[in-house]
Amino acid sequence: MASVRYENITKSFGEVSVIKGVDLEIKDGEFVVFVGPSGCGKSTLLRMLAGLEDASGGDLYIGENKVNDVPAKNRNIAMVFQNYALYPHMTVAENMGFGLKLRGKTKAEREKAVKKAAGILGIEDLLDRQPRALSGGQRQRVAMGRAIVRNPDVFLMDEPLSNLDAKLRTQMRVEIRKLQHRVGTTTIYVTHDQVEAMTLADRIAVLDGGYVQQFGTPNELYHNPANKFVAGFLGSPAINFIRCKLTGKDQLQLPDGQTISIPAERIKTAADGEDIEIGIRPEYIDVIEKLQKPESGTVIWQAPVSLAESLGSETLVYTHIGDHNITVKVTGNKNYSEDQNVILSFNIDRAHLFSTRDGRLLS
Amino acid sequence: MANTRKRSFPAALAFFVIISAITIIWSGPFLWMVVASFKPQTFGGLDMASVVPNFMPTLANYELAWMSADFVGLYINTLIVVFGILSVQLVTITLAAYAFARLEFPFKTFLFYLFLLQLMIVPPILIVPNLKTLVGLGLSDTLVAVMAPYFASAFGTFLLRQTFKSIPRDFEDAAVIDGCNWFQILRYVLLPLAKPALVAFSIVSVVAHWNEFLWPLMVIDSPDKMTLTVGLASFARAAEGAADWGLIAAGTMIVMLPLIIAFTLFQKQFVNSFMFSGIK
Repeated sequence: MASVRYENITKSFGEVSVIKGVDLEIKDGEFVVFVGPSGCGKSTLLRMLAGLEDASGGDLYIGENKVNDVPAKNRNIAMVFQNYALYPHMTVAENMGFGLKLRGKTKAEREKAVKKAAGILGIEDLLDRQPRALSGGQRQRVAMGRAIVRNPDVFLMDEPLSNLDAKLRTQMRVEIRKLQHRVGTTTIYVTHDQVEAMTLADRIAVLDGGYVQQFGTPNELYHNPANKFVAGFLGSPAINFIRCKLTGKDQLQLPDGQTISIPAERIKTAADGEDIEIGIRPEYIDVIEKLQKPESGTVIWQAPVSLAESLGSETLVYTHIGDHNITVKVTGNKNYSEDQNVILSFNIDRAHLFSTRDGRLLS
Repeated sequence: MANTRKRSFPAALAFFVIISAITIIWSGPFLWMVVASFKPQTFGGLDMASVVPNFMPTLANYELAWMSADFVGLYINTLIVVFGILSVQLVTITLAAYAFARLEFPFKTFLFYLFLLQLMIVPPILIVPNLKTLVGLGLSDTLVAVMAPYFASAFGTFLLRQTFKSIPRDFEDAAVIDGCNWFQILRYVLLPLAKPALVAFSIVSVVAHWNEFLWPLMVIDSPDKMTLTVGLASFARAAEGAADWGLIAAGTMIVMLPLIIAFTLFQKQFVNSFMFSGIK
């Protein structure tokens, strides 16, 4: 087991700069998820640590060892690939034991290690099969088995669940989390699925545009996003952004013209008259019965329903204010008809304030 | 794989007629040869053209043919040539294909097309320059000389390069992480996955060089170094004078037999190989 450190890492492919400067410190035994839209460089970051790509600049550490120039096989890492990459011409046992074989382990040692790993994953009865005779979920388990059998310092997982159907994905997600708890190996997991990121991670690194946008626990990221990108990326349904104008020192003008006062300490970093976007999560907007005079700090809106989706335990109500789409999540199974007007209410304390210009969080 | 497509009746009939015609045209000479090889010695050849056997089959022609030439020696020479070429080719095409498929070096694409260009050169054109080279090397009238021009194969390199390129990179990444160097990747991952292409190439190579006639004829003078085709030709020249078609047919059968048996045994794999390398 080992900690992992990225120090000012950059990576370019020819002219294209993919990673523009990443610093991350991952603790021993931690489960860290790299999440971001496609093309944000999260897989590249993982592959650099694996030794499959060279860093263009910066230093990489596994434990206390700088590994920039250490070949992949000497880094003592194991990787699970998106399509599993199980060797089709080898049995499950041979697939799992291949790395050990290359490291000169005897047949008896290999068999023992493979049996043990297979036992942990519940795949003992698959050992003699060929990968093509396995289901998607079984292949996934074998790929995990191949990773744990070597007892590596770090597990690297590159979107390992994205080829599974939704139900299996949820099940395997739980298993991966349990497995990591059990073996306690430092794990870096790459995904574009924010639900996987939120549920699996001890800490999440949100990547975009070649930079780490924020690195923190799922709760920190969800409740205290560092910028508009992080706020918009995490959460399903996505956070609502509403463009407003700062008028006077502490007055915020909403798109429908009403103004609301803002505590001055929340907008100290904003320029006068700057455009501001407020971000409010769908679950923090309430649908109330009667139009009433807003209390201080509360916004009340009347909005037409364009669609309502009942998910059984909760209902998603899609409305709009002017050209701003607003999604509201209400608990329980409620019926709303299209073009019915609902009254929305939320407290500005629950909202995040971002600069429209660069998306930074205002404080 | 079963053909599950349904054809309409007229289409099925037309298909049947065309296939039958092609089969008859292609197999006709061969069938005639088989019949002739089992025919008792006749003097004059009035019933020579009959494909339908109207006699008691006899092995007399085979006996005579077997005694008329040193078939054991011819077989050994041919096997040495065919498998000598194949084993060197498998090494050279694997390395070349790996280089063209996976390594980065200047002018890679240009060099690859240049390499492929030799497929467009008709082999007989190269007979004289190749002979000169071999004489210069002091190799004329040796089996090595028969093999040498074929040690590299543009076709094999092309086939294997395409196969390597179709193998997902993830397998190699996984192998790197498992601890393979490039040679181990080739040995444990790429080559096993390219097996169908290697089998297909091997069959094509063996058949081509088993049947090769002109080049060994030019290179080999000593009878003890002749290959089957060359041996058969000199043997047939003698028999032709006497119009002994039964003898020639039997000799030809002896030359062809190993290929026929091999093809029958590997028929499925042979066809599948091409399906594999074609589709992938």
